[in-house]
Amino acid sequence: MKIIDNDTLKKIQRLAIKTGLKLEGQAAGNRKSLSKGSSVEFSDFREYTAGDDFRRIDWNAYGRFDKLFVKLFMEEREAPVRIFLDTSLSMNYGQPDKNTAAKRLAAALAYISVNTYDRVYINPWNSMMQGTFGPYSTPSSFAKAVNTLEIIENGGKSNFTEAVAKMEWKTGRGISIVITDGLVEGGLEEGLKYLKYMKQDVYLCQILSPQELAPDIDGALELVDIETNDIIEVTVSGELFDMYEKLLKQFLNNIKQQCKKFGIHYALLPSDMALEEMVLKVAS
Amino acid sequence: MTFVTPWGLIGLIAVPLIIILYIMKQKREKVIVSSHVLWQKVLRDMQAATPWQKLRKNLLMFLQLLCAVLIVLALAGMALESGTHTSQPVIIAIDSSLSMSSTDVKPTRLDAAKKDAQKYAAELPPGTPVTVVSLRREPDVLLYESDSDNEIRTSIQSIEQTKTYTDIRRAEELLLSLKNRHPDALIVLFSDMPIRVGNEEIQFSNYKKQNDNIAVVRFTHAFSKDGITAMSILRNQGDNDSEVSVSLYGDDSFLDSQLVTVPENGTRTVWWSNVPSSVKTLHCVIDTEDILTEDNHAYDTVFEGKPVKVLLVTHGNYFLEKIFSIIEGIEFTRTLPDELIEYKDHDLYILDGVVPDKLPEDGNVVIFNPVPNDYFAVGGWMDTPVIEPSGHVIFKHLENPGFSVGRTRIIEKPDWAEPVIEYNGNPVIFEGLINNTRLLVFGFNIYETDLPIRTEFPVIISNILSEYSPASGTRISGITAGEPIRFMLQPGTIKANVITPDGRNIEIAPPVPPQPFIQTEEPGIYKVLQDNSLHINESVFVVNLPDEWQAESIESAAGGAGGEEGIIIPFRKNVRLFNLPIICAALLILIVEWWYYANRRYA
Repeated sequence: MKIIDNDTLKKIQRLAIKTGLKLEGQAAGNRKSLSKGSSVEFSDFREYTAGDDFRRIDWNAYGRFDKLFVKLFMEEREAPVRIFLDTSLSMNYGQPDKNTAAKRLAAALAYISVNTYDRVYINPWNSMMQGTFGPYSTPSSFAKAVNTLEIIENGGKSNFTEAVAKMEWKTGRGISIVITDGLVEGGLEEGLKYLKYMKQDVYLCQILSPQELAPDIDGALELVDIETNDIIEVTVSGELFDMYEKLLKQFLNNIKQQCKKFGIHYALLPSDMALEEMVLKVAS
Repeated sequence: MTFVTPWGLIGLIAVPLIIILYIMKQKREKVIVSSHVLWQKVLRDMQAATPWQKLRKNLLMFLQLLCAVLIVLALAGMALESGTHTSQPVIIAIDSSLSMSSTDVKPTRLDAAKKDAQKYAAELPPGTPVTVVSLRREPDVLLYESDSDNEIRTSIQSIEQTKTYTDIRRAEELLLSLKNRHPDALIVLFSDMPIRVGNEEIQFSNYKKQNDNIAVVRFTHAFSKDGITAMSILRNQGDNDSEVSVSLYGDDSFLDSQLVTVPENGTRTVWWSNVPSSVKTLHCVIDTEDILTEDNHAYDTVFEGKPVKVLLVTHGNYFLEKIFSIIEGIEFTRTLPDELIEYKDHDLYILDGVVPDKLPEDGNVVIFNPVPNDYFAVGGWMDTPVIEPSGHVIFKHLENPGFSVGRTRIIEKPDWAEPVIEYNGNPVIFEGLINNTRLLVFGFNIYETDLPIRTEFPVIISNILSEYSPASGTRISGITAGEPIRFMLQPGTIKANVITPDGRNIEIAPPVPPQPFIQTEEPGIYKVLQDNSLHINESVFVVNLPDEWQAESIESAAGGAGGEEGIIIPFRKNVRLFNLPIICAALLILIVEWWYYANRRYA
């Protein structure tokens, strides 16, 4: 299945993920890093020490202060962008299904990232991390990223905290984009906190289907959990709907508040939202 | 609020059934959801985990329950008890026949009927004219068009249980005549069997809950060389075969017992052999109790086989000599008037063309072709009198009692006599009583009639023998409860008493002849004591209950007073039925249910 086409890619080509974080790393990139280096953007002065590149001595400062100062420049580094893609069975639900929407969003974000020479990693997860795919750091490697997204299969329950906690991390700042429906065992809070602890600039993209946002069911029903096959018997009534809406609103609001609290970018994305809108909502 | 047919409320069992079906068998559509995370919270918050909570919002179930209840109410005939709006005259007819003493309705059918009738009357609008009729062997109007609550209540309360059957024909005639006086009158019948009254509509309150009753409907005996053989016929009126114990008593002593099975709605004949011929009374009783115990008993009397002594005094009458000589069971003697010295020692004297100066005192007398005498005036001859059929006992069992007479004596009817057949004021046949001796006088010579050559002749002679032999006065049989008895006391009797089964001693003579004896309500063995100043002669007779089932069936089948077209509708208290509104409401609910079902949405 082709999850993204060229027309869509063209539309989102110019979008970039704006992040205020300063990244650490070795390869050159488009992002400001804490390493002072040879980029064109001035950062600071310091006194000259033996071994410094004498070409960076600011002679004007020497004339004024009679001391040797070396110009420090913000070195632009590539940012590691990790896309945590929820691959639990619950993502298969909805019309259009959340899984397709999530993969399309992941692809779009990956495309934007590689266009800005960021290293992109794809981390599918359910109850544990399913692996780390990448890095994809050049436009030419984007096709591989898309291919990876296409072959990822959904299954199992979701447990985000477990998944990220047991993941092998390379230390350093970076961008983490979590794409999930948020309907996960144990919630998202601990996992998101962990990402923040790992110095990540976190984006939470919560994708829900229209059927979850406004269920279209009625009568005496057996609700079958798509992940566990557990059954709950309900007789749907107006009162039950009201209660559902109230709890859903509460549930989403909680997530939003937690994100705000931890400085996490949050976007609620219905699965039937156009991809460009999704990207814009995430990027803005 | 009341129910015309309360049995319909059985249908309420559908209510718990529907609820159970909804709880146990509720078909739920399977819907896949992404997660239970939210739904569990919703259910927790709504405390919707209990079955009742699940049902609370189930509109379909509640509609079905409501519909079921309405249908049941319609079946049960839900109605509001209220006074009628008009003061339409009401005829309350209460059956007090034997079967109404059945105990399938407690305490008895009659008690329940009286109670219902009183309640019904009490709820009539003030001023409603009420007529109360008691239906029995002789239906009776106890109260005519009274609007006094007290009178009506007392009148209904005064109806007593009888041991007779209801004379349906007379009941219909009476009710019809009452109805004819007030064509708008409403007839309400409280009985255990419907009665059709002409083409009129009657309301019938039925008190026959079940009919598991076994009765002794026939009981008789015959002499045999080994003694007496008795026969009982038992009838099972119920719908199941029934095994019962039946016993035979002779003169109050136990003789035999049998265990027999009586088929449903059928009869069973029970034979009793080797019964001692010395017993005078027999009593057959069904020991097994049923809803009507009174008809479990039957009685019979065993008459002594002593022959009737008949003396024929004639100058020569071939026909009379021949007929008496061939009749079995009599001791017949013929003599010429001149040969006879004294008229005595016979039970019946047949005098042909002769009347003695002094009538015999020990037997009754039948006179043919009388001659002038001291007892009644005999004149010349009257030619070809027309013989009109008569209902007298000597003509019983005859289909065509008429015969031709060439001439008959002109006789001046004496004061002591009653004509049996008369022509132009002249008694052709008459009977009477002189000094307690019964006389039957034929005013003609049978040679001058066609009577001897008619087939009815032996029957008439046999009837004369049965009726006029003195023993027949006490040989009373076939009496059913409530039936009057006309005693023919033995000649010379000056005082007679009857001792009833319950021990009452009732004097029946004087006067002689006695008035009809009507205290025969109680079935059992009655004793008759006849005192002729020399000795007291004791005899017995028995009274049995009528076979009500058969009597009413026959009369009912005969159509009574022509009421085949009569309309019998179930008894309705003074109520306003709500069947139509209830059924409409049920239909409306079904439509709502259908609409709801058609428009409900599923994911």
